[in-house]
Amino acid sequence: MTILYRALLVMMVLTSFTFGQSPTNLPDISLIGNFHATRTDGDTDFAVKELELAFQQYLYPGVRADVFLAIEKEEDGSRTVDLEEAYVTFSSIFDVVLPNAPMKPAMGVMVGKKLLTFGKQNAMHAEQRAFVDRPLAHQTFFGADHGLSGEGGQVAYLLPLPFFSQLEAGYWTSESHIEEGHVEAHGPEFENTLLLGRFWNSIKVKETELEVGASYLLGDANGDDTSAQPSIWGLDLTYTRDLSPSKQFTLQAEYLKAEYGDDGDAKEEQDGYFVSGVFKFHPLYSVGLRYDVLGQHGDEGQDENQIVYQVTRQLTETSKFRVQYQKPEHSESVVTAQFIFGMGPHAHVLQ
Amino acid sequence: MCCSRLKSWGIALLLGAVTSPFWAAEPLKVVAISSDFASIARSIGGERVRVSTLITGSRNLHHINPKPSMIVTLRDADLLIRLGMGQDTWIDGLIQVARNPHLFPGKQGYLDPSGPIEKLEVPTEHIDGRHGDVHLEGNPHYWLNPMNGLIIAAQIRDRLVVLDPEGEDLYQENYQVFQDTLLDSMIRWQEVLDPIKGYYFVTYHTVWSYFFDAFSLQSFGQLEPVPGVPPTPKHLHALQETVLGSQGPVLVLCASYYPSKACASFAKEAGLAFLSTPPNASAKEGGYLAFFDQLTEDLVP
Repeated sequence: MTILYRALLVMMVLTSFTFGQSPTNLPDISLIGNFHATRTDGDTDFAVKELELAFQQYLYPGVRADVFLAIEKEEDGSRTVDLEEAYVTFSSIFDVVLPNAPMKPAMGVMVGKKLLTFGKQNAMHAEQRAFVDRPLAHQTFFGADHGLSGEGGQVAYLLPLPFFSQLEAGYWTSESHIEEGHVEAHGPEFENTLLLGRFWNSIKVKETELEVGASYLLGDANGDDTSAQPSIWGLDLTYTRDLSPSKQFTLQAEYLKAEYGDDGDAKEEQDGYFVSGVFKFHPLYSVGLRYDVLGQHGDEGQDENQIVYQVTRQLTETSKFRVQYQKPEHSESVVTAQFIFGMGPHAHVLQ
Repeated sequence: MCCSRLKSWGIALLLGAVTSPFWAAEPLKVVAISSDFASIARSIGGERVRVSTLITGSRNLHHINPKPSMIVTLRDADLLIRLGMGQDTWIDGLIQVARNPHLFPGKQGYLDPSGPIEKLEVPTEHIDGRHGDVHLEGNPHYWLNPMNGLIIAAQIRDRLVVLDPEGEDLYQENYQVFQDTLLDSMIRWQEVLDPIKGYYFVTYHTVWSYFFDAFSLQSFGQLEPVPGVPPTPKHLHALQETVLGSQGPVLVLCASYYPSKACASFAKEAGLAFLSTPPNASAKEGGYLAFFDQLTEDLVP
């Protein structure tokens, strides 16, 4: 970790030096800050939650590298530097490997470390999300602050259909997603080899776009004991309607069903879902509402649900204020003021 | 009898097949970011191109939420015409997912026509967020100067010739027609705008700079205190004071995707004429040249 931290400092110094020089060969370098002020019953907290440093550049026509480092605040107040994502995307692998082949299927390959493209929410970074927190089911199954990531590779094939239809298959290795000290430290243990499949479709009718996806994740796929392999399948639906050049409504829902065992116990089922609506009623303002449900794991615990409201004021493309109120059924309400800011050109692949 | 009829049918079918447009070359698939670039591409490519757009209607091209359906448009395209100047970076993510090697930056199917454009409002000193949403490469609304339309058209012509050499004569001919029509129209538009040459214009954002530059019109200021920052009462008051002391008539001109209420309210309080209009060609109403016909007519009281 110290080596990574030093490397980070060296890169930052080089960046500040080279900004005054010719920018010709520099990658896109950006920093995203995520600040939270949280108020629960009788307790107020302020946290520089995360600083995300990104380096992005095309290496070759159709070959792009994206590296995201995150400096995060832990529960004990200390800060850690983590490699959040580092991957290379070959947009058309056959164009690189067999450039003279007569037929080149529209197949892309991604290798490195990546947030898994399970549903629409898991791969999203904080600045891409419409709410401060992640839905309850995602927090439990994949991780509280970040989604589940893996190191390995993924192929994606664009089906030759008159509408958008993409098949994705990933082979990843993962560390446990469970974050030490978090109250949400339960859920399936995704270790060793992970197999991921996703089928993502979208159709457009006039100003309306409807995305429908299905995902499946199998954990410890190379393990001897198949009865202990955790698995999750999910369905996601996103409805986007452009009401005018500056007004948009987005309805999103995901249903997830997991099957896993705790500490060597037999596998039991747990499911959860969320439904959210975000209305952008002005070029700079939007409001959102989300309803989360998380079921019991077998006979353990109890069903959880919460309702979340948010108001967002966009300052620039990557900078915004947000105030969120969340009312869980079985715990205290939480009010969070969030400020996310961006410096420099920053982009994420469409997902 | 039977055989001779069959033979006749066979010959007819063969002749039909040989002369049928079915065997003609497939039109080049051109995808343009907006209707302005699409209209110019249609004018140059004629029947040898099939043009579609990523954006329908008039939009702020910087604030587009890319959608999967756009990938289908790009997947089979032979040529992508983007805006460039860092204004449409959302297209990069689409190119990545569309996996169409013809459209990768640097390939012949990728065209950013902003290169040879003489840019306006290019920052000459260090800029950051204090200056608002200022673009490092200058004001990106360059299609609003019709003479830049010619520069765009020339680049589209050259690229189409590379992608489809057999159509070169047609592309050259269409370009010549487009150029002649545009230059004739420029004279007409200048004449139409003559009565308002002494006017001052207040706009919401610096959308119209290239249009003002093309027709020697004068900008008086923007409702935004700095680009991308909504109007503040203090700034509007100061702007109103300046407007009231102006030497000539003042007209408030707003791009239709900006809040027209703010423009209308300012115009009403200051007793000014007000026009909210899209800064883009409409595919339904005749394209790029017809857009300037309409705009110049609308501007003259």
